[in-house]
Amino acid sequence: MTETVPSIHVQSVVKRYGTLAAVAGVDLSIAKGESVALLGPNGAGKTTLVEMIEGLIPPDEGEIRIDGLSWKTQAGSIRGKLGTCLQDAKLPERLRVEEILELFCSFHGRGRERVEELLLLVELGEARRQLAGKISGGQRQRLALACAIAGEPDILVLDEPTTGVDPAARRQIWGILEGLRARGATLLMTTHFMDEAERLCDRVVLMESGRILEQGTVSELLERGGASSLDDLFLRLAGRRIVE
Amino acid sequence: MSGRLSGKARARALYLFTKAHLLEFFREPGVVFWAFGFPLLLSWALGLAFLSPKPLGTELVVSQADSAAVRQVVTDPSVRLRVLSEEAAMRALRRGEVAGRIATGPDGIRLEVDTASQDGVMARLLVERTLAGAANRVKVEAPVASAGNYADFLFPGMLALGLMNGCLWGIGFGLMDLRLRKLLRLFAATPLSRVDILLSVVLARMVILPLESGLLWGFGMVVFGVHLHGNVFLFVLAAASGAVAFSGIGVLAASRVGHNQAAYGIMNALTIPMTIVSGIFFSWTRFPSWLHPVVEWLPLTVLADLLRSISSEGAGLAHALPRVLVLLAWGLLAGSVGLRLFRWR
Ligand SMILES: Nc1ncnc2c1ncn2[C@@H]1O[C@H](COP(=O)(O)OP(=O)(O)OP(=O)(O)O)[C@@H](O)[C@H]1O
Ligand SMILES: [Mg+2]
Repeated sequence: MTETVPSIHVQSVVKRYGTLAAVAGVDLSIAKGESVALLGPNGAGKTTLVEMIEGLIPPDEGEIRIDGLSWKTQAGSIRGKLGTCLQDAKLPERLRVEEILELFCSFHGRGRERVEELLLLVELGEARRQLAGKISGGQRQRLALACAIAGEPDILVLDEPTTGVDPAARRQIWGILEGLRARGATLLMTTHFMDEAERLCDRVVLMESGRILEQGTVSELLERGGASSLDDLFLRLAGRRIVE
Repeated sequence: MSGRLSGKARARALYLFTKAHLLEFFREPGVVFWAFGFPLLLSWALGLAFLSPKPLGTELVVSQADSAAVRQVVTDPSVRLRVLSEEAAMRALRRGEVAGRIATGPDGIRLEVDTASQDGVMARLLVERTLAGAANRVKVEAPVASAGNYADFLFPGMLALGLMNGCLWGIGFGLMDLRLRKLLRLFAATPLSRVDILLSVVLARMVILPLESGLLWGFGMVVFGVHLHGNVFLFVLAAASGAVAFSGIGVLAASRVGHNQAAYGIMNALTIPMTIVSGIFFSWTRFPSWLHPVVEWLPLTVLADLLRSISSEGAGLAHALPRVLVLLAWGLLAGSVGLRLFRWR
């Protein structure tokens, strides 16, 4: 075999909205089984980058490959490999939890047995008959996560999977993500929380104004920057805090 | 995991997705009322307003003093007399409750009516006829053909209107709503193809529309005695081609909109003018003639006229086919442009 292709490969990618470059030339490579946190303040360009990786918006410049496949020519094959959780995406409010799961499983050619597995995994068995519009924020995030992994994807791209949920629910989601990592899934997630990035990810990528400022393991970054915390480091690099 | 879905898995996904849209629809009580209840209420109210048995003929006021003398010469029962005091007579005349006033004069009967109005002319003709005894010289028989009553006009139009609203709101607004709730891109990120996502929304509507239309037509038959003179299959074909037309237009309308306000705006901009000019409640030929070439080809006009000609004139395939093709063309053209422009996020 030749050398292994990265799960996610982003090369010189640019996305402009009018005169604003939301993503202004980003290179990023994520190996199979690696987990990476994309950290940055509001408007840094995290969602824009992530949605290009998910094939939802085309880049203006540069190239994105998923498992060596290009969005331009092999979109169908990529969608089967990729599980996505969008930033504040709603779920159909008048469908029951189990109906939504059955639907998303069917999109991957999976049947009811997968629904049961997912209900166990994200601990929504008790809420299975409830309407998605009536469950708590934490339950909704877990449901969204279950939809993302319905097809047992090799690669997971999650945009702020723990925003707006209480600490207990966050830890519950962390537990699920750790389980997926342990099974060898590649993980790319955006977050505003330093502790989340440290705990779940091998590598942290700091982003601001559409560019990558720094990347590496947390200890590497702190050492290189001579900072006491990621927040401190970010403040020095970007002149502002990640969470104002 | 595999990429594209196999034929069977795709069919199952499409079935579950269509069912999901239907569940969402039927679990929203307001939507069910607006889709099923409101059209019935509206046609019932319109039907009653125009069909309530208003007596034919004319009604005239007469003073107490003259009433007996007038009744003696004006024997025709379709000339009804209302005996009123001077003051009450003035009031009834001003309100337009009566066509005019009749009295005895030195040279026989004196009739005060506005001969520039339809009511006035009617009153004059009826009174003159009974005075001349003409009623006895003309033999009157039932006509061999007649325009149907208002319900026969109204219900095919209401059916067309229901199809338009069902498709434009159900598919057009439904897609915009999915986009605004960010559900469209959530689905777009799954292996289900984008055509299938749109197809599921259209299929769900194709389940709801026959229910809505059947209910409305059944209501018209039972309550107002609406009659279908033409071929029932042709009628269904016409309705289905109308649904194709408005589905395509719905997809086009939904293709770019990204704001709530714009979504309502575009829906109203499409449905309200067509509802007014396409002759749902009264014939569009009453509009000034310079508007006719435009109005004539609007999909709602084509559909309403087609349904009406099949149901009340019994029009056949030769008449219907070109119009069905016009509707299909509307749908395919608008739909394919909409698909090209369609924004998934
Ligand atoms: N569709 C769009 N049209 C115009 N500008 C956009 C669009 N999407 C994003 N932007 C702009 O691009 C920049 C980056 O936005 P993006 O959503 O990627 O940031 P983010 O890092 O995800 O922020 P947050 O932490 O708030 O989610 C912002 O300035 C935003 O206003
Ligand atoms: Mg974001």
